[in-house]
Amino acid sequence: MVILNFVILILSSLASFTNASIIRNLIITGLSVILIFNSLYALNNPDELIIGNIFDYPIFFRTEPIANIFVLMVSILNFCTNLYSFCYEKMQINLPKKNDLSPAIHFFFTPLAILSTIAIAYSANIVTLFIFYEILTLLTYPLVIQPLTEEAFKAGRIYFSILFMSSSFFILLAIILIEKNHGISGFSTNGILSSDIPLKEIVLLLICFIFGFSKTAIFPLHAWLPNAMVAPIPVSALLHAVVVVKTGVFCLIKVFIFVFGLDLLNSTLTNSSLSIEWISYLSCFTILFASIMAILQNSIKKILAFSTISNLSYMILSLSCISQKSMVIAFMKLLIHSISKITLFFSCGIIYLTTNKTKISELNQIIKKLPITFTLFIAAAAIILGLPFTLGYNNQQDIYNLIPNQLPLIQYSLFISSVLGFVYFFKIIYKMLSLNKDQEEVILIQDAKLIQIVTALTFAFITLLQYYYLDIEFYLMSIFKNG
Amino acid sequence: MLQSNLIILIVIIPLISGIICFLSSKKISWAIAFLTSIFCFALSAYFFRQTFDGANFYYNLGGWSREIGIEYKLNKLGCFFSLLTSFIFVLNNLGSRKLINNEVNESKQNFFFGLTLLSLAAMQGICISNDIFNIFVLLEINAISNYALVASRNSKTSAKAAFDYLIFGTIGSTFILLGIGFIYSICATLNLTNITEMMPELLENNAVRGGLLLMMIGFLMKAALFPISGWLVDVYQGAPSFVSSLLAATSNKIGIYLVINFYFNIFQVGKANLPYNEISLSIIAFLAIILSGYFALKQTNIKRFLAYSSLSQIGFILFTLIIGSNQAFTGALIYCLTHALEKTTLFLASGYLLYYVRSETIDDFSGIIKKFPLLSVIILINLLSTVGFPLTAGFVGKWQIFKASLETDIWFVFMVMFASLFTFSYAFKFAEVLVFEKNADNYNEEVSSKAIPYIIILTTGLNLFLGFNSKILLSLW
Repeated sequence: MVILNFVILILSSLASFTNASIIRNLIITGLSVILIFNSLYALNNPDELIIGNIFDYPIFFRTEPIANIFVLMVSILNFCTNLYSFCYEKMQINLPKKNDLSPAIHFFFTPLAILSTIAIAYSANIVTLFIFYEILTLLTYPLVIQPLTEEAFKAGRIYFSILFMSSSFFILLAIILIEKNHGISGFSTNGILSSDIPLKEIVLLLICFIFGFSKTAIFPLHAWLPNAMVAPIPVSALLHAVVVVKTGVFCLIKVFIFVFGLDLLNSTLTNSSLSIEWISYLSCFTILFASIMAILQNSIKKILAFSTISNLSYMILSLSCISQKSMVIAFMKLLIHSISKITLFFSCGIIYLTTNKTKISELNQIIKKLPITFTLFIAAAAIILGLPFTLGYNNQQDIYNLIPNQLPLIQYSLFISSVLGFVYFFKIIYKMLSLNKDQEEVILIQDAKLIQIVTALTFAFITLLQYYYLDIEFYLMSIFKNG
Repeated sequence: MLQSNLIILIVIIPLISGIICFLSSKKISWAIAFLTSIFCFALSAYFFRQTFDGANFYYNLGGWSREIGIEYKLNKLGCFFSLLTSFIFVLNNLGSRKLINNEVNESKQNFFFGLTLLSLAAMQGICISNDIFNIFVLLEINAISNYALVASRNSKTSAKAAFDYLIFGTIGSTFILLGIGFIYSICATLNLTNITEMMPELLENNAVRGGLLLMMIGFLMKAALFPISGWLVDVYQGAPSFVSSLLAATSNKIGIYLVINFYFNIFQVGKANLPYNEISLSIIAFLAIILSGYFALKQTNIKRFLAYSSLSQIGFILFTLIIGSNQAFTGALIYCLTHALEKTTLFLASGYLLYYVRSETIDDFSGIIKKFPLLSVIILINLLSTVGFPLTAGFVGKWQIFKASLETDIWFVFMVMFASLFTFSYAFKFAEVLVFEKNADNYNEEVSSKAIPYIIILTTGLNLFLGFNSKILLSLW
């Protein structure tokens, strides 16, 4: 039930006012477990919800298959991140920089941000989607600035400006354009645009949506994501590796399927290929650019951020191939990347909490001190890189196969970017492995058993995904076939 | 059915009770002012309800016919502005009861309340008057009481601000009077209904065009459009904070009302036969938004900041008006309403906070969210409304402007986009200051006014209510 999702999350955010942290943790954990079961329940029980009107359009939510799976993933990772945040809150006290994560802000705004994500996922018309997209930007801003330092505010400025300005310009423009020429109706698989739409307008709308949903961190509008890394690890992990950025991609999927309709985009692609291929080129450029930038970074979080940017563009690249299969592949990539990226961030957080190190150059001999974390890191990195025998491999192959042969440039650059991907992950892993005796050995400040268990638990969900991978793929394809 | 005798009460009652205020003590005068403004509000709400379907009501002052006497006319547009201004007066009167002690000498307070009533009477009169010369007289009454209100603060700057205001106000009035003379020389009547009847043909006449141009300049000066608006900032800074709030929310709205009324209703300046180039006006409005926004960004004084923000919003309203379509018209009216709500809230909240912070420098407000969480959240909501965040009333206006400009010309859309970039930057800068704590706090601990938090909760609640139920706003027109 959609309404139950919202109620749970609002209660969960209100729980942050509880003084005793144990009670608060119990309440939040309990609520996030209920959230998971509720999203499981939604898989087989369609539901609709209307709360009020904006202009002539209802604020309308409706469960639908893709959204259900997305929400399920978000609620599972929300549960894991909550556990992780509890550990993080306890452990950060032993660090020199104590108030990295401020509980009052963090536990109040995170559930609300999740709420708006779920609202976006279930939104049944473009106005609802837009409203909650903006609200998500607003609610994640306090999470970014929560260290309350000068640096955090500077980053927050870039974060909010880029995300808010782009969506409030481009998407609002697109919505009003659609309203004027076609009328806004609820999402449907045939798209809501009339079929005699001129090519010029399609291109304009595409530009609006690609740059409007700047949560996808596409090239000129990507700067907010590396900047958002000033936030504490739980925020970077849940929001800036999963919820916020994936919401951007998810919105694009929704818009492609429900606003344009795949048939319309397909015929546009055949009539004038460049009107859509520019998205492929742009995303391809973003992939290369972000990979190179990732190599140049020294902070692990920044590397992971640029890696996220490049992976997001993989999804957009896959989307820009416009077919039912490409949508499903992009969505699968989204799921795989979410779980493995959150694991990478969690591992990075463990290293930070136990050694107070955030730079690669300081990671000497981590493998000896934190073997489990190291293993998790490597495994997650392998999946993201799409090494053979991992879940990422099939998906990566699928994306390569999607690229039509007329676009050799993109094929080459994908090859280059996967090499670059190896380089930047290898840079971290090499440093973790190196047992250079001359260099200073890292010292563990504190024990990290519990938090490692949480991280391992999170990563364990990848096996669940592996188990159901083909099922989900098949399920989504069959839904597309049946409309 | 409306009793036509009721119409005049909305002017007479505040006028008389204003004079009573001058003669009575401080406490009584506040009560009189408050009750009178509530009375005006109730009456104008009743009028607005009556005229909502487009009905007009007339009242001839002293029984003289419209050719020789003064005629009052209720129409929807006028009643809307009358409702808006009287509502703001009610709020400000409520808020000023305690706050006034900080800024105005005890002995002058009854005069102060009397003056607000005179100003109210004049504004209500302007909204319902159908006589061009009567409008001028009421404008003068309004302006003169405003000068005195600005000067009432216990500070050196307020006298100078009042003097500046006086100079520019008088220049504006001169333009208007001159314009009236031009038009009277051709039309031989002061009654607006009569002028309206003559208009489509007479607009070819150069004297009429000149008169209209002069009047427009005067009205735009009253509304404080960009190139002639630097004085306004000093005025807002020098005046007591609730006077600033009053002026920001009402006085320039009257200017805008007159522009709308004369430009669209009376002279019916269509796109075809313009007395002056519409494009140039839109560029002026555009510059007003951008430059005022830029100056707002640069300000360190909170009142000047709010003043420039106000100027920029006025630019938005005029820009929307110039687009000229029906959509744009609705958008501009919605903007008037939301701007009045936002600015009242922001000025009152800042006036309230000024008492604690004891400094007008924006940086001294840093980290105030810790001390006054509710108040800061309210300020933040109003800033969000200023930038047009969804679910606030500001969004409805923004949506309407986008729609109107898209229907007219795609370039208007880019202009609006570019302009709102500035709005966003200054609002964001201010919001950041509120949240970001820089220095240790040394606040005044006493309570300055208990009413203000409730008032601003009310206005912000109204803002959100209208934002959520945007149909109400859209059905206003």
